[in-house]
Amino acid sequence: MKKERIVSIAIVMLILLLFLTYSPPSTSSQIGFAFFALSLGALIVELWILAPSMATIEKRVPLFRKPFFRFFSRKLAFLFVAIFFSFTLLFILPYLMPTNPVDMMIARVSAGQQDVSRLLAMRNEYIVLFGLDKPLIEQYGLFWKRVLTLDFGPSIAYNRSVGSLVGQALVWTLALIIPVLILEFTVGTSLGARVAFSKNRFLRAIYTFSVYLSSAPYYWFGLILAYIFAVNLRWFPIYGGYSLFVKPSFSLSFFLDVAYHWVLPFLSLFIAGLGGWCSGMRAMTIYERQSDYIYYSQQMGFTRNKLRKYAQRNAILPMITGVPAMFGSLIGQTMLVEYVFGWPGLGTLLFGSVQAIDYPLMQGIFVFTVLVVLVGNFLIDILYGFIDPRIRTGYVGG
Amino acid sequence: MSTRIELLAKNRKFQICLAIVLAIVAFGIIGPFFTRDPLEYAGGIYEPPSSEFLLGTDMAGRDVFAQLCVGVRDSLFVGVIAGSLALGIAILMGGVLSYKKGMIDEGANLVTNIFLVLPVLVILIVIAALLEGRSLITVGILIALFSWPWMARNIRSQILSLRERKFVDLARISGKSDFTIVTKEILPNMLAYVFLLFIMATGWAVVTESSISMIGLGPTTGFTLGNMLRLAIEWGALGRGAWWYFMPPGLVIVLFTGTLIILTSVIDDVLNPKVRTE
Repeated sequence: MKKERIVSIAIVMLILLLFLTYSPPSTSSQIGFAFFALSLGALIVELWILAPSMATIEKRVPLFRKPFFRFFSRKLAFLFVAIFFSFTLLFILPYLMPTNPVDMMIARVSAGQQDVSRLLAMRNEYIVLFGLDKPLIEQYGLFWKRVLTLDFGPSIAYNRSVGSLVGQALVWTLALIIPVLILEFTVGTSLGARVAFSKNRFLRAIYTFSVYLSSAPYYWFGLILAYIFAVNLRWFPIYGGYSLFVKPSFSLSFFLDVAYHWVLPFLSLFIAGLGGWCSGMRAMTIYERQSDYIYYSQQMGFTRNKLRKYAQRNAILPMITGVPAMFGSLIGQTMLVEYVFGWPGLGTLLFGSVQAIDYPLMQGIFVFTVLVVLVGNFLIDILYGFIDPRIRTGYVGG
Repeated sequence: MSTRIELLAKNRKFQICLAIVLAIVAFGIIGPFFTRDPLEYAGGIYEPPSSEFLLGTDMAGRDVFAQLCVGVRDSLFVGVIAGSLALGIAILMGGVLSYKKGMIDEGANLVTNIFLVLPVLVILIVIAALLEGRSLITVGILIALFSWPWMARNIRSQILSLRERKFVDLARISGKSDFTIVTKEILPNMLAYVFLLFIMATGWAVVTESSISMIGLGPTTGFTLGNMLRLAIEWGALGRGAWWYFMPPGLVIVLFTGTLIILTSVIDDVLNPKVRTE
């Protein structure tokens, strides 16, 4: 234990030394450095203090004797470390690639241009804009400043600020993803629990079908729905988030119009994702069904339905811990479904930015998506801490 | 071990699932030898299925059935590359590093958890957009780099329980290195499980490949199922009602991955004595 403490102190000293000797000239990159140091601090706290077993933490840090506080601080440390890690990854990515984004953008623009001097001027403009002429360490600071202020400059393809573009699209995406996540979870877990307790053939058929579909690419499912309900039956519109000649406004008619367009993308995400929750919940319920209290209740002569309710309540807790991993993949799937239906969310925007090699916009979408996913997960985790009595009472650590 | 395989071979569900998977693999390997060139302009625009074109033609009069054969082959190729590479990373991160207790295990676990919650598709799209030429192998490697975390997590939980067994203690006392203990003593004990993970990773990789291909960031060489879906969407197969263009590639993917899921649960049921008594 002693050795670890020395190492952690050494690392903190090294960061401080780096910070003092370099002392970035601009305040903007100082923000970046502050966050950098904070994240590394969080990493050290997570690995050296919070991660070791419960008994040793309580001896060392009296503050962490409260189980919920320990749980909360672990999750908070994880949030910081994850944000730091993923955005650093985003910063490094272009440097690992054979061609840098600036040259790719220039190549795209230059297709119809003959004027070399103008292209060179444009290239220089981008280099200054991204701060590529500065030393690497300051670029890193500037990058963090852009991320923390959520200011990525103007988008090249849309000629608007990236922040406003992404913020607008994010609302559309969340309008799709939050109902999907909530409904999928509630319907999926209750169906899974029912299947574990009943021998109803119809239920089993639905279960098998949804598990089978859960591996389908969601967007393909969207294509099928669009083909059946939009092309053949013409019940629902095939494209867009609202009708062509309607102006977005806060009115009932606009809202209804959006809801009308919302049905098909929602359905394709909902149906395709149901199976994963079903199968997980079924396995957990079967496991729970073998426990003593269920056996006892069974001997007491409780009805099957009552038993299911008891088992369901306990089996649902581990399922909530699965939500974070699901959220990350669901947001990706949502983007693809959006692209198929032309829903004006992040997915369609991302596709547009990829087509135009609009790197600032891509960066902005990446940052917003990762932030939404990580902060959302953090909130779900904390909610879990409130729901599960075992975490409040310290029955299980972290 | 032989009795286990006998148990499996007798299981009717297992036989059916295995037959479907093998049929799809055979379709991809043998199929392309018997069809015409998938890029040859052979027929009219969006011709419906007929005896000459089993699945009709696409917007340029190319044979959809031939495209499907090649697509299955290339998609499976990407899937197997990504699956095996991801398994390797997962064994390293979840197995070898988790075997060492303390800091290294915690660090590896932390990295795994971070990768687990990241929106993989978004990262893949950003990376793929920055890469200009993408071969099947590059795309396979890319998918592998971001699909290992859940496998690593599963392997880790297995390793944590196996680590405490007597035979591992014995190996440790006899002075074997940690790496040898994990690869020679522990992994053979969870071979069936590792195989299940590989199957699932392959299925997952096929779906992911189709997803990134669908928005035009898949392999630039080769012709995968995702490429077919992209062409179908871009050239308005949906609006023209050309179901024979966008249905088959998705159906093959669903059939393949769905059967793999059922297959893994069947293997799990048969090999896991706890569940078998159910």
